[in-house]
Formats: sequence, structure tokens, C-alpha cells
Amino acid sequence: MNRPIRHDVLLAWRETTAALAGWGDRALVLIGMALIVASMRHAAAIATTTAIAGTALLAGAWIGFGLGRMIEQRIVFHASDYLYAADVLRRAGTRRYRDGTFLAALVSIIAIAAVIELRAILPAVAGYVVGLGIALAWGRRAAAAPEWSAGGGRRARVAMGVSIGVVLATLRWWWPMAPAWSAAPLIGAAIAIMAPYDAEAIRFDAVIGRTVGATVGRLGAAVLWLVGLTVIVVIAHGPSAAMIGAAIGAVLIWLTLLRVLAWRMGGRRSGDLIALAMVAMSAVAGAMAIPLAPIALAAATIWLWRRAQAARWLIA
Amino acid sequence: MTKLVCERLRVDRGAALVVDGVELEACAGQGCGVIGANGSGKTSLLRAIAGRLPIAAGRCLIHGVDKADDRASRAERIGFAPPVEVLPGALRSRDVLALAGGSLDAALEHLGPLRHALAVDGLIDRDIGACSAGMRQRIAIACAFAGGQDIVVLDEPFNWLDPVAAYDVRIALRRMTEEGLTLITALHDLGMLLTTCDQGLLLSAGSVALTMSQARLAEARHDPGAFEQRMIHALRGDAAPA
Repeated sequence: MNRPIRHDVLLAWRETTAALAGWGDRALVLIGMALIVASMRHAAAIATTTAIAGTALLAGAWIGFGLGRMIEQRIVFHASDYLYAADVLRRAGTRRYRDGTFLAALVSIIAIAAVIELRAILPAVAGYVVGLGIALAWGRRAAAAPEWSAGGGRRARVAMGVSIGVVLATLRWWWPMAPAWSAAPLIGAAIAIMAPYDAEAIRFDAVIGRTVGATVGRLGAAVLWLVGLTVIVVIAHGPSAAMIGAAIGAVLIWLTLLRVLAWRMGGRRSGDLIALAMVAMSAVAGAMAIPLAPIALAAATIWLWRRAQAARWLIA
Repeated sequence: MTKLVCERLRVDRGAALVVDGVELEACAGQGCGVIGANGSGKTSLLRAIAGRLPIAAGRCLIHGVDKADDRASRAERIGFAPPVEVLPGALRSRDVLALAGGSLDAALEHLGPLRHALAVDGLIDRDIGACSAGMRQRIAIACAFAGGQDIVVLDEPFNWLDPVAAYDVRIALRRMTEEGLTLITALHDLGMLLTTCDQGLLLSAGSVALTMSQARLAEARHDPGAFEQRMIHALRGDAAPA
């Protein structure tokens, strides 16, 4: 096994054990996973083969694409910033790193699909291969392109500008058919809110001792932006259209909040996994009884907030 | 013996030319300091030498063999200290050192006098995430030497270090260069340049604005105040230093 693989396997293990340090955390995750698997098995038992194949294909493609992008980024990181650059700068070393990870993920996908529903194995594998292929092709294109110098702030300004442009362009006085589209700019504004958040910057906040409130407080201006746009849409199209967009926007903001809190604890990869686990558990709770979803989400947020608050003042 | 020679070295980052026409020659047992304003190309130059960036043009000879087109060889032959912010918080320093050196024992042995200067023994069992910025800097410096390479690149190694650690590290680096190490280091502290290095380069907008030979630095040590004044003028681009 080459050094980058050994390093990343060890890192993943340590991050997982750190995230699940207490018996309570482990029990919570085990129960959550058992509930997710049980729900999926139940859903698969009553679903048509077409629905199972489609879902498995999409899930496989999503995993393949995400993993492919992550591995390409790790290779760039190891080659340009880290200690074991020589290993990944050689073709054989890069191939071992890629092949080892992709094979391990493939075996995991087959195992998970087999536990949930045997009919899902083939489409999940097919989707995984396609997603992986797209990610690798994307990675080559990105490597060939010049470095992108625009920061998150610039992307956010562009997205906010576009969102207000679309709101103004779709006002019913100019375009009577517009109300159906009025949710889109609100969702765009919410995505713009997420754009300037960068895992490294969030981690740096923790290192230099900023409180969680100060980090999360940066969301404030963007939330006001969303509220302002919602008011415009309410005036232009009535509350029903605005509510759809605002609700989706609020969910996206909440998701950003969870990710930001999780990033403070240990970086992008493990942070996103923790946030995803929280959302999945809330979704399962909601599937059992809808009122449980917001309660589970609130509990997850409080738990993450406390953990994130503890990760500060590392400079001494 | 000359260990590292750069000739007309050019480094691009995306479409931007960040280092252009740099000439550098470092012998065994020499410390070469690179100074320059923020954004002058110091980090890009050091990363390119250490194989962390591609070299767009020019030659980079290691022990007489041109490795400009072989990033992997440069990365293998040259020790490199990673930026402190990329050290993974979930690992312990023993983990990264053991991987860099083949084993922890080998890594510690390669550190030589730096082991004591960096107080590595007190850090190896700590989670990096629980370390202060200064401790992380000590781990990063140790990582550069853990592989036992005889050419090492350090980018502003004295940042974050407390005065005692900075002093101890400077003395240890001096001792290691006297024993044959070739050290290429970016610095902001002109005093450190005088006490740690045998020659210097002043980079401005990616090009060498001034070279400081061993004799010139030895002369500067007699009057560090005047040297500092000349360097500040050069860094400001006010006038050519005398």
C-alpha cells in the first residue's frame, strides 16, 4: 500500500473514531443506520423493479461522481501541498491510489445493495461506473484549465445579482406567466448564501478562536437578502409562490448551517459526512412521523453547535 | 560539490507567470535564503524546486542531473515542509513522521539535532488538532527532515515559533548545513538570513533582483543595521543597494 493510501485510510479511521468518540454517539449512529436500512428494505419490498433500478442507478452515479471528484482532489492535494508527493506524481502510484479506493467503494456498494435489495446491485454498479467516468473526465478538464482565482465572495455576489435580476425580470407586471418561476430566484439566493463558505476558512475561524456565533453570523446578511427577495415575490406574485421558494431556500440555509458547524470540527470531508448523517437521520425520523423531522433536525443542530463551539482557541 | 542548480527557471500558475528566469546555485553545506515582498514568487519558486509545482521552463539540476521535467524525482530527492494548515488535525505527529521517514525511528534519527530543537519527543503522541500554531510549525519542519534527504526546502520556517524555539532551530539548522545539508529557505527576517544562510536571493515580481554571495553576507554580519537598511530600500524598489 503506498503512503498516500495508508495516510488517508488512517485519517478516515481517526476522523470517524473522533466523530463517534462517545458510546452515545456510536449507539445513535448504529440506530440511525439500522433505521435507514430498515426503511430502505421496506421501500424496496413494495417498489417496482423499474423504480428500484432507477433509484439504484442514480445513487450509484452520485456516489461514483462524488468519490471520483474527491479522489482527484486528494491526488492534487498530495502532489502539491503534502509530504508524499513523489508517490502520487508517478503514474503507477496514482493508479494504485485510484484503483484501491475505487475498488473498495465498488465492493461496499455491492455489499450495501445486496443487504437492501438484490435487484439493485447491477444498476447501482452501472451508475457508479458512469458517475466515476464523468468525475474523472471532469477532473482532467479542470486540471487543463487555468486556476480559478475568483473567491467565494465573488461567486456569491454574482449569484445574488443574478437572483435579483431574475426576480425583477419575472415580475408579473412584465410577464404574466411568471409566478411559476418565482421560486427559482429564491432558491438561487439560498445557493448564493452557501457559496462563500469554505471549509478551510471555517476551520481557520476555529483555529484563531472565533466563536461559532461569529462564524455563523456571516449568514445573517445573506438571510436578510433572502427575506428581502421573498417580500418582493410576495408583493409581485402572492404568498403561495413565495412560500415554496422561501421554504426550499430555508432548507438549503439550514443545510449550510449544519455543514458549517461540522466543518469547524474537522474539515470538509468528515464534516460533510457528519452533516449528511444528521440529515439522513432526520429524514428517517420524518418518515416514521413527520413532526419528528424538525425535532430531530433541531437536536442535530444543537449537538453540532456544542461540538463546534468546543473546537476553538487552538493558537497558543 | 554543487547539489542544486536552477537555470533560467520559470514557473507558471494557471495563465500567470509567477517566477521568471531565476538562477540559483546551492552547494553541499550551504544555506540559501530567499527573501522578497509578499507575492514576489518565493513560495512558488520553492514549491517548484521541491516538485510541488511543475517547472514551465529552464533547468533544475540535482546532483548534476536535470530534473526540470521530473516532478516526482524532485519531490523524492528534496525534503519539503508542508504548510501548517494542511497538517491533518485527526492524526498524531508520529503518524505523519513515520510515513515520511519509513518508520518513526528512522524519521527521528534523520532529524539529528532538530529533534531536540523542535522538542519533537513532546509532540509525537499529541493529536495535531490539539496543537498550537507554533507546535504545528515544529511538526511541519520535522516532516521536511524525516525522509533524510540532503536537500531541504523550508518556506518561512520561523513563523509562529517562540523566541527560544526559533533560536534552537536556527542553531540546529546551522549545524546541519555545516554537516552537509543543502537548505533553501524563504525568510522575511533579515537577521535570520544573516545568521542562517550562506547566500541569498532577493526576489521581486518573480525575478531575481539581487544576489547576495557568501562574502557579501559575511560582510553584512559586521553591520547588520546598514544591511537591513539596504535591503529595505531594495525591497521597496527605492534604489539599487550599494
